[in-house]
Amino acid sequence: MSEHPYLEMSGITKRFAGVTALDSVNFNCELGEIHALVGENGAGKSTLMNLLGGLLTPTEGTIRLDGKRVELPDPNTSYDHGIGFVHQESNLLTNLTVAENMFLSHEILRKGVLDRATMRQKVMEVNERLGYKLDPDAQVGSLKLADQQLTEIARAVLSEPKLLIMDEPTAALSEEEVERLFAILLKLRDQGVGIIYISHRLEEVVHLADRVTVFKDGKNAGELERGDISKDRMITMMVGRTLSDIYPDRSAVTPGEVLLDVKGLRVPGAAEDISFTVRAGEIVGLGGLEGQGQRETVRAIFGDLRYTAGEITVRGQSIAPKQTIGGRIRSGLGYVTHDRRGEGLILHESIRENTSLAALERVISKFHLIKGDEEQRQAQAQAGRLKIKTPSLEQKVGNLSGGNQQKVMLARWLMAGPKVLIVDEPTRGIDVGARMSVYEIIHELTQEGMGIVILTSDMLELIGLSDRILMFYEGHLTAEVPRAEATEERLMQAASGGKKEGSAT
Amino acid sequence: MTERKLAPRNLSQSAKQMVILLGVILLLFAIQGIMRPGSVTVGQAMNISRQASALGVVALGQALVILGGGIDLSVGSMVTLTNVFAVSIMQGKDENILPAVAVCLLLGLLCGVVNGIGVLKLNIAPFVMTLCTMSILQGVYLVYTGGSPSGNVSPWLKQIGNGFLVGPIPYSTVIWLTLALLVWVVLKFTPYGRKLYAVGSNPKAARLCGIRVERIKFSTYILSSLLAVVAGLLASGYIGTTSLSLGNDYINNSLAAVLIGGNAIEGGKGGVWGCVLGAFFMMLLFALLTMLSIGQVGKLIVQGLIIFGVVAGQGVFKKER
Repeated sequence: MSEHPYLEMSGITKRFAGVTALDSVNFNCELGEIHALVGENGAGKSTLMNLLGGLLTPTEGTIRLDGKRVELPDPNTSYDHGIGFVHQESNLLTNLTVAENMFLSHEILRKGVLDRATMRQKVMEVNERLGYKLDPDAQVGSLKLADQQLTEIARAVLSEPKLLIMDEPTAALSEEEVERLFAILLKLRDQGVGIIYISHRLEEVVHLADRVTVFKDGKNAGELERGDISKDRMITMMVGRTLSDIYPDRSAVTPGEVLLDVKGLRVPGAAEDISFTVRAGEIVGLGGLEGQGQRETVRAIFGDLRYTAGEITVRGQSIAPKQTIGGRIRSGLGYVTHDRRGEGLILHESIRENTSLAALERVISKFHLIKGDEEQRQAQAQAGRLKIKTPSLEQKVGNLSGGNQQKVMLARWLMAGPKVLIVDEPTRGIDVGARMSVYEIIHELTQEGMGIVILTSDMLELIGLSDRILMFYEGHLTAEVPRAEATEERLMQAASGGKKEGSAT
Repeated sequence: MTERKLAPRNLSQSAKQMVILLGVILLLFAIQGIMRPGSVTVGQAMNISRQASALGVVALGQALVILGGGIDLSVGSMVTLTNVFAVSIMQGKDENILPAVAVCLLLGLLCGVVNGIGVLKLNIAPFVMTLCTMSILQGVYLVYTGGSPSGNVSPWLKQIGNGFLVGPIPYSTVIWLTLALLVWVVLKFTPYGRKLYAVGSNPKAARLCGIRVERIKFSTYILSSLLAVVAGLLASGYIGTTSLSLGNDYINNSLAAVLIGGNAIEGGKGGVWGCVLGAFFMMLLFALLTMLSIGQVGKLIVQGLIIFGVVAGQGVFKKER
């Protein structure tokens, strides 16, 4: 080891229009080590890596590679400096082949024409090096998710990177695929590549990392060396408080009548034989790895996806499979999407207009005209209840922080007045303060007799908030775990296809 | 956790564009006044508004379609088709006006339904689908007339297209502005209007709020075709005869009017009054060009440049944000 680390990021600050995402952060990484980066959603991990990948530029601070100061204004510069980046979400073009994707914008030419034979050959070399077999001519869209990810890694490895950034690479992988990925990462490490590994799965980090840096609210919360790395220590550093402080106390909850009853639901290609109930005053958590059918299940219940079998009953009233989303809203269902910017909010419209959008029929006169003062009053009531920080309801929601945007989403559904509210990723991308108010409002709603369903990929949130947890694996329910028995180990086992335990009530 | 400082609510881009447009209109009047002293009068402005009314009505429909995230290229053919059918059924007699209007409205409805089915059931891009209808309608009126249309506009319709209600105020201007007022009320004060904006801005979000996205979009094509029929009747009354080239300019001009008026081509943004001003502006500009003896060719170039300029301006504005 030389006197200075290979990568040295010091005093890094990044602000976005008034929001400080990173606050004088230091981070370094050696060649030939796996350095894990952990922290809650919004702690600044991805922002830091985007700075390194050239997708963002720091407001303050310096980046040094091998002792020399570098500027990374764009991804190509980072690439030229030997930094490979495997993103959380796939960046592949699904209608191109594996080889075409791997050489995208770095194509090998001979006499101005694509040299397909050489490119194919290079793919096979990478296959050899990493010990897997990707068909260079396979169309990426036809590959399994795990193989698409391998293609991404192969693309990064192709550039012979000194540093490889992996942003939550295992979110969509099965246990077996994760094992295979780890073997590849260890191989790369032993070949002298420095790997920066971002993950929410702490047991993975314990298993894999040589060193861990913990982030909290845009700051370094500490560093652990191999041997000192344990889940408990990481959680304490991440959260800065014990779990019981940020989640509402739900020990006094007594569920009431059944509000939502789902029997034998089949969503083609996504979920099979799903049965569960939601009672008044209860929070039911749907867990599992990404893409195991939990999202499709709730979207089918809400009428956004077609289902070919099963029966859905809301407050004893059966819902016809052909019933529209609007009809289901009138029956008492509500759904807060996980993607509030993409399919939730109308960003250039006001808080008022966004809040009333699912409840316009509640504020019209007998001539079918919107009663402006009534709309204003009801939207104001919800905004006030949710403590949305804004000088005026006429503020465009695009100008609000993530936390306040999420509150607008909740306000919309509170105004619509559902009996069962499904909240998909209740706290994705929002700060800790807003998180706690979201938890608080969900808790309050159940006290008023609403039934809540949450979907979350954050295991701690799932455990902290749910009264009952249903685990999904490959489109099936694999376990129903009551609050008292919910541990990460138990849930992880179910998330990886462990036996179904307990029975759905 | 720092909440960003919230700036006082600025004028929306659409509102800004309307203010600019109003300024440009005044500027054009000023130029005209300098070149031909004494020619700027209420009567002349009213005359422009009379000429603009058919375009203005088409632009209302175009604005609705664009708000919903689509585009309607069949409006011009619909105007000509209306002219050809209405005139041949009327044969210059007032008693034939009801059947003539009824037939034209039915044709409009049919055209709107065909566009709606193509775009929303068969998932054809609005641009392509309405281009097809445009060309089919052209074929229909060419076959129907055998290339030489005949008939006369009835006196009553001539009066509507040309005459004045009181003083210098033309009937057609009143009809145009009444329809604009109606559309404004619908957009501003009804759930339908709110939903249309949501559908054009973020169809996925609209869907998850229980809005029947397809139905709303479908309805815009029907409204657009029906408004084109109304425009065709007004234009027929204005020219008093039948013409196979009557609708030629309406695609470009209606797009120009809508875009100049501050509506965004990608949907979800804009309103009615901007497109009213836009239609007026286009006619004023053409009148000025005619006064300067710039012929048809010049008009076409100016038309293209205006659409280009406005859309490019919107793009630049967006990038700056």
